[in-house]
Amino acid sequence: MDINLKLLVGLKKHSPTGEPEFTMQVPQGTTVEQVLGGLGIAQERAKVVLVNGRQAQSGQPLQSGDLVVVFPPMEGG
Amino acid sequence: MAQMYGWLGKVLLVDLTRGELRQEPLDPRIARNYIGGRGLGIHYLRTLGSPTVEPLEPDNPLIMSTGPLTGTKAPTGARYMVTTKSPLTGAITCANSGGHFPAMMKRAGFDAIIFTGAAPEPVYLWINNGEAELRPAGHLWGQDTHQTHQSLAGETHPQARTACIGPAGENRVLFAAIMNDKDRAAGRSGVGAVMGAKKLKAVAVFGEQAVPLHDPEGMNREVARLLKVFKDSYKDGPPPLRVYGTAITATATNNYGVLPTRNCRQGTFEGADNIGGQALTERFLKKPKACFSCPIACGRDTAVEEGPYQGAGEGPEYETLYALGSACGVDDLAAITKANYICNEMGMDTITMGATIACAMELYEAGYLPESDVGRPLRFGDAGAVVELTSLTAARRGFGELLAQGSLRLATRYGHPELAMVAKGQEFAGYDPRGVQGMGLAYATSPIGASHMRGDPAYIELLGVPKLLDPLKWEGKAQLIKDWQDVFCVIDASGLCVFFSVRNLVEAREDIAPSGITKLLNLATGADYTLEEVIRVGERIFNAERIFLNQAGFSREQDTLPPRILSEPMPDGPARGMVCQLEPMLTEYYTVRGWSQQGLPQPEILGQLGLI
Repeated sequence: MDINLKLLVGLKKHSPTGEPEFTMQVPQGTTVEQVLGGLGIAQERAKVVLVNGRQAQSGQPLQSGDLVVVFPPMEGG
Repeated sequence: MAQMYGWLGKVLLVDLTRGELRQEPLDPRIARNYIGGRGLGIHYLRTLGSPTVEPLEPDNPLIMSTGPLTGTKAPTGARYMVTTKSPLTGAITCANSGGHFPAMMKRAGFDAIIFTGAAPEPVYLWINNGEAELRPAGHLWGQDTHQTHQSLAGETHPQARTACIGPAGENRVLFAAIMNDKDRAAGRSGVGAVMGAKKLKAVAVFGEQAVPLHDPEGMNREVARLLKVFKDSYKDGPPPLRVYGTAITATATNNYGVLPTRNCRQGTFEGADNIGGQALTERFLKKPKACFSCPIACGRDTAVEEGPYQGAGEGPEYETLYALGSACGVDDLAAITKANYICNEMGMDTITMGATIACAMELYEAGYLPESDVGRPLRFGDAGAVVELTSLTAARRGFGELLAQGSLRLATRYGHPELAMVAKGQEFAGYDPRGVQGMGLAYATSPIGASHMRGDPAYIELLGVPKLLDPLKWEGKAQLIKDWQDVFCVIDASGLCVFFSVRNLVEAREDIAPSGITKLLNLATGADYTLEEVIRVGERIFNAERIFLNQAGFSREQDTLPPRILSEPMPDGPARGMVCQLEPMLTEYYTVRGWSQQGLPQPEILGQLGLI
């Protein structure tokens, strides 16, 4: 199945296309952790992971067409 | 008098009506019980002011106060607080700023400056190494903040630092700011209008006095340790705040669906990428800029060098990008940046400016605000209108006269106060509370009206600093907001910046513990605070502000949000279908605070905090 990713705020270097936004094919039942691990993003760098705008749950399996947004620790405001 | 550590030990009282200056020693008991900064501000406001005073009358004191860590090597020990009664809201306000002025004010010899009365003619205060004098400022009246800064450097000391008002403050725009070091702002709630009403154009300071420390060697060691930890945490690249500025926050808020768009009619903005940190860095950034003693450098030294919106200065920050940008449906970054420059030079709060124009745009599109009153069409997305109206507001010319009074007065005039996106009459920061539930409670209970800086839950609900909670859940948020508000009081009292503190000086336990701040405070002051005592000081400050608010006529009825946020479901994005569950949070919050269900602190908690 296809899922969409956005690797933001300095995580772009983990993108296989070199662009922050890309689509990748993963097997049914793939979890968020498996996707991030496959891209080489350490758990502490993936501070916020959103699936379709909602915070991802631990071990959450992804669905076809999901949008996964990842950002590292940051302050703001 | 015994040596005080962390302090110069002196407060300057300036009676502007009589033109008299007097020095008083800083009371060590007050310094201990309120830490400093924001704590000193509310202490002096309650002592010298009255909750029922008209904010622009001479009786309303204006207090500038530093913290014990201001002007020290403590990372980000750069901040001061301006406290007064707000002409925008009628509530207390405390507006915070960094840059270099606060540290220099302390090195010039004064921990705090208290202005009372009003001068018959424009004046400025000049402090040179402990010697203070009032000087005529008629020749500066009318100058913008950059010109004033330059004029004062010429006629006082080339290395003097200044805080001043621009034409907006002179014209009593109700959200005029006090600008220091040219482009840093004690921005919110109209502190600049109070200064203008006092005919006080500026404060210029120069000094070479060091802040005496209880344990200078221990402070050096702790600062070195903190800076190493800070550096090590960015091995993969520099801090996002240095690379992109606070503008990077738009990335988070738009993806969460909480970026206030078109006066909160939406929570996602199709133009968000055009106004985010990446775009700002690529298009206009000259270099990052740091405040005194700051390792982050989130400030943006920028220039727009082509097109109709040319200019140079600092900004925009995230809050500005939301207010002058997405809230107005504008994604023209050059126009937003130009309007930001105008706000800086005229001395106005960018948040209220933008949010008020956004409110006017909705009033216009709904047919409530006639084009003849505005003098032009005013649809969402009109970048030119944002720039033009910002200039008119500072001068109070044409439709700017109505905009200068903020969105609530504007919307009320046209019969639709519900279209003002405010709490206690102050405009929202850049988070729609329908998708950040705790932020709704924080806006509603912030003593200064809607603000992200009086206990900013976005760190915890959106960014995961120091821990991550679901922004769409309201359960359990009351205790969180109470704890976080108290910790922010501690940060603001100490003279530190939130950006460094929340990641490096605060621990996430069951509650949120400012343990790193406690350590720095003890090294600086020798006060031997326990962590619990420091947390208690934060709670004391928040409750003291609440007493002032209650006495000014605020209670549960005013701890609220616009109907749009409470009953119109978010129409789009990840928070679609949500409203802010304020009432249950508020009920729980009052219980957690030890307040009545009318929002009045009860004798038991006031007794524990030493406030009766």
